[in-house]
Amino acid sequence: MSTNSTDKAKEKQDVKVIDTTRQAVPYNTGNIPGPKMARAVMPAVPGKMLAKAKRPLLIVGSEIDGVDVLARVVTLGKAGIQIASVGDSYKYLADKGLDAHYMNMHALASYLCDPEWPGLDGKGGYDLVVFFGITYYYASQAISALKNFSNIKVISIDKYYHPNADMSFGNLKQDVFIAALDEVIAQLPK
Amino acid sequence: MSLKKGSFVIEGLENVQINIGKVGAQDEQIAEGPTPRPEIISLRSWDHRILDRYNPVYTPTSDMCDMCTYGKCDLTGNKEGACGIDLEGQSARQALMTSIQGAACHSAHGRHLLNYLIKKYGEDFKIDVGPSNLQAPITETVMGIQPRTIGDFIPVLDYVEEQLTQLMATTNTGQEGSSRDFESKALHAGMLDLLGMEVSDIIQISCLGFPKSDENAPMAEIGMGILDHTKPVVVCVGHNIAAPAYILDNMDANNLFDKIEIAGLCCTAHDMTRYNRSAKIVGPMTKELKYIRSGIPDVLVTDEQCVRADILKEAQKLHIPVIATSEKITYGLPDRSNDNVDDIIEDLVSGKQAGVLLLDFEKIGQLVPKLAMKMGPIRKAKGYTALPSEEELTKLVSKCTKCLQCTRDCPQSLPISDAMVAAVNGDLTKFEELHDKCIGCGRCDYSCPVDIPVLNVIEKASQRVIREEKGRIRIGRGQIGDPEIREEGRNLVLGTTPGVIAFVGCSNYPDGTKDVYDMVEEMIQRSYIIITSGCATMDIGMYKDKEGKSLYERYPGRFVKGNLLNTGSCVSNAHIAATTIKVASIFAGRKTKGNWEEIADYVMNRVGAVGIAWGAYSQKAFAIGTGCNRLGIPVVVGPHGTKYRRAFIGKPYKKENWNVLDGRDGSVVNVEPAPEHMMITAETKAEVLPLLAKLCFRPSDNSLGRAIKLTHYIELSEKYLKKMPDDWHIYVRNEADLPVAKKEQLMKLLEERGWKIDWEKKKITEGPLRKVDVSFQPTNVPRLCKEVKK
Repeated sequence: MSTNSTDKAKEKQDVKVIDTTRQAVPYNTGNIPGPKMARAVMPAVPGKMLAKAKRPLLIVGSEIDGVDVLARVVTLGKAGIQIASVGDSYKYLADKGLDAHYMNMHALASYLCDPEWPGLDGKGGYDLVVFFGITYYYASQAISALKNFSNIKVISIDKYYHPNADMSFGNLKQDVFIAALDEVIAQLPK
Repeated sequence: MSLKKGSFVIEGLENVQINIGKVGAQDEQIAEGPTPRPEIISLRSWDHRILDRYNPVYTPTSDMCDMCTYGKCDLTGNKEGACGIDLEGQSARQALMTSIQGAACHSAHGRHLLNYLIKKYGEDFKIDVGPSNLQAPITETVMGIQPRTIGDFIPVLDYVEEQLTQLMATTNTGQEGSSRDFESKALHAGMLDLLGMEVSDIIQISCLGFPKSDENAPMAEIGMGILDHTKPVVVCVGHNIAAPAYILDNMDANNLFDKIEIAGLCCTAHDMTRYNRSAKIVGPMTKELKYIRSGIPDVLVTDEQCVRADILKEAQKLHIPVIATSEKITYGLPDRSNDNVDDIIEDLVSGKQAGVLLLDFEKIGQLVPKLAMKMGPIRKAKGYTALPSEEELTKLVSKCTKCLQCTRDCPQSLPISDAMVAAVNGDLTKFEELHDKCIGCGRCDYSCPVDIPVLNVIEKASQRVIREEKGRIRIGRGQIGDPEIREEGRNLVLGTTPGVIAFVGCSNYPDGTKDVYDMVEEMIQRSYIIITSGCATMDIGMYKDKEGKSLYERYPGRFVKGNLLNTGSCVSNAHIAATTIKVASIFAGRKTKGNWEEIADYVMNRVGAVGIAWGAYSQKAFAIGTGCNRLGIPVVVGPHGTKYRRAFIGKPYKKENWNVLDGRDGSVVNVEPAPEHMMITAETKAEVLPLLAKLCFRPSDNSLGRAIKLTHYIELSEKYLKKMPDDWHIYVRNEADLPVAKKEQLMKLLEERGWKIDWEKKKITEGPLRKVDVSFQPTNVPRLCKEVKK
């Protein structure tokens, strides 16, 4: 084996393979809504969809307090994605200089279903909703409204499989979850 | 001549028979409003006004309908099923069915008590709830009558039962199809629930010597650590005082309180302490399985509501005899009501029978203390408990494979495996934290692939904190008396008391019981009036400050700002809702009898009251909330409340939704969104506190009141969410509405928003939605306007 091919093999070994489609079963075992459940996707899919969306919205909740997760929220926000900060998550984002707005998750779910809602900034509704870091069952219930009563695409990039989303990661370990968020971020325009 | 009940024949008119039923003073029985005994559509227009502003938001737990043999039907994406109903309609139907279940539960409780109390005390037993002329506000407002005796409640429950049957009929396949009208019916069921609860509590307060509007009601002990389990222990579980009252009477008559410990679990416990001061409270429903598995109870007595379905199975394992005393929960047990008490005791002590159904209260009273005296020594000698020994605990925690299946099955997603790992290293503190957050459902036991009895492990590892779990609550006082309303009503309507916050409902908290204590402490220090009932009351009393005092010991129990009032058990919720009717009647002179719409309209626009059921789990809690909504009282539930599948959420961005009429001339006034929502959830304690403050705004607030409310809204948002609320300016009508301490700073912020400020006069000259008008009479009901403007 040449030195070159050895280096390539080593490089390949070093790149951790992230498969976010494994364990695509509802995180809370009983949370089976019906025949339509989220398609499990690799991180590049939501990443590309976020990059292409005209008016995407990122929703984050009370579980973004960990340093690693919070850093990814900030990076996504700095990439120009507007953030709906639900629960008490705003306290983590207050001083980060992001386009982040506090909103109650239940009210937000209702307003997203309303074509007349002017959005968080008065500039109209959204064509893509991506979320993570919200209490699992709370997020699952709230997005069931979007699934059944709106046409908005909803993607979970949380560490849990969310059957009520259109697309979701499977149930992920924390390190895989962080790596998956990084892959989503990698798809965004620099 | 005085009229009496009965049949009469008049001399000379032998073919004419006159039947006289219940007789009341004429002026008491004349309805003053248009809707005495409303039928299921009588208040539909009021409901539609609510629904137009507070749109139902559906969050289905299932996208399927499997209610009839056409199905299962997939309704995903709001498709129609085979019968024609879509997911929105099906979700609304489920909301109605949930409300009916809750209302039926409370009303059947009331029916059982009424039949029993009439048999014991007679129909003419006078009702007495304390110093009030308006003794049954909900009954008056719904039925148009003023009850004076417990017998007067017979037609009230007849009405409730008939209406619930009519409502239930509409849920059959091929009946109602409109989600909007399902919701109107759900609101009707919620109102019936309030009525059923009021009957239940008024008759038990009147007949059983409960405190009557007593702001100084004594304290009761509460907690898993309060009972002396060297003595025989009797634990009563459920909500109905009838059977436990006989046990307490027997113990009193035989001086057994120093020989036997008796306590209750869930709302029966509240009513036991209201009935007899020697009774104690173990805690809410979440403690049932935990306490049974501790092995401490020597006899379990069940009645109705919030009783776990597996009590007999769990008790049997630990040789705890179960005495079922309600027809509603019979567990397949043999009915021994006609048998000799000693024979029954013999069968239970010997283990021949694990439990019995006993519907004769006298026998229950005789049997239970006697049985406890026999079972206690036997059980204690054997040391029955489901909890593992120290050595077993060490082995069990080391078996954990960290598969996380328990966490995935746990309703609170508790990090159980982390606690297992810590325990392997001798650290039990993580389990102690879990004990507070665990709702004691036992689902983790079923999920463990290596058969660790997880709940038992949590409880064994938490013995240190369980021993210290000793709180105190002021026992249920019942209604708020008329004199208190006279004193406080004005402050509430003008807003100078920032609001009434009712902490009610069950213990399915998202992050432990301590949250509800913290919330009450925060809001009471801000001078809100805090009213409580049911399991929330208990949880608030579980914690103490550094001086060892619970909140009930720190704050008095009068209906004035900065006080903490426990009304009582689940059915005492009626008094909380009724307080707003009293404000409308006593403070504002509104007629109550048969006048629901006008009263509810007044409450919605003028009384800054909000309910929070942070741990609501049951259908009953949903019915209570829905009933409050029909009365114009907003309700917040915890994040689990999204699983109720329906909320009523306002859209502040739709200005036309916030038009009200000025009652003086019928002119349309566009007002601030107050209250913004009727039923909504929040994710965390930090989120809900500013929301509670916001939901206390009302269009009628005067400037001083608005400034006080705005102060709390802003401060709570800054404290917990680290931000000024985005919408604070919407609630500013002039400079006098601004919190004094921040006036200049806020005026600058308003100027940045484009408002015009006259800095010399320190006045706002342009910007607010509307002006303050002290004579403004906001109403949503056109007929209530003195002169309708064309």
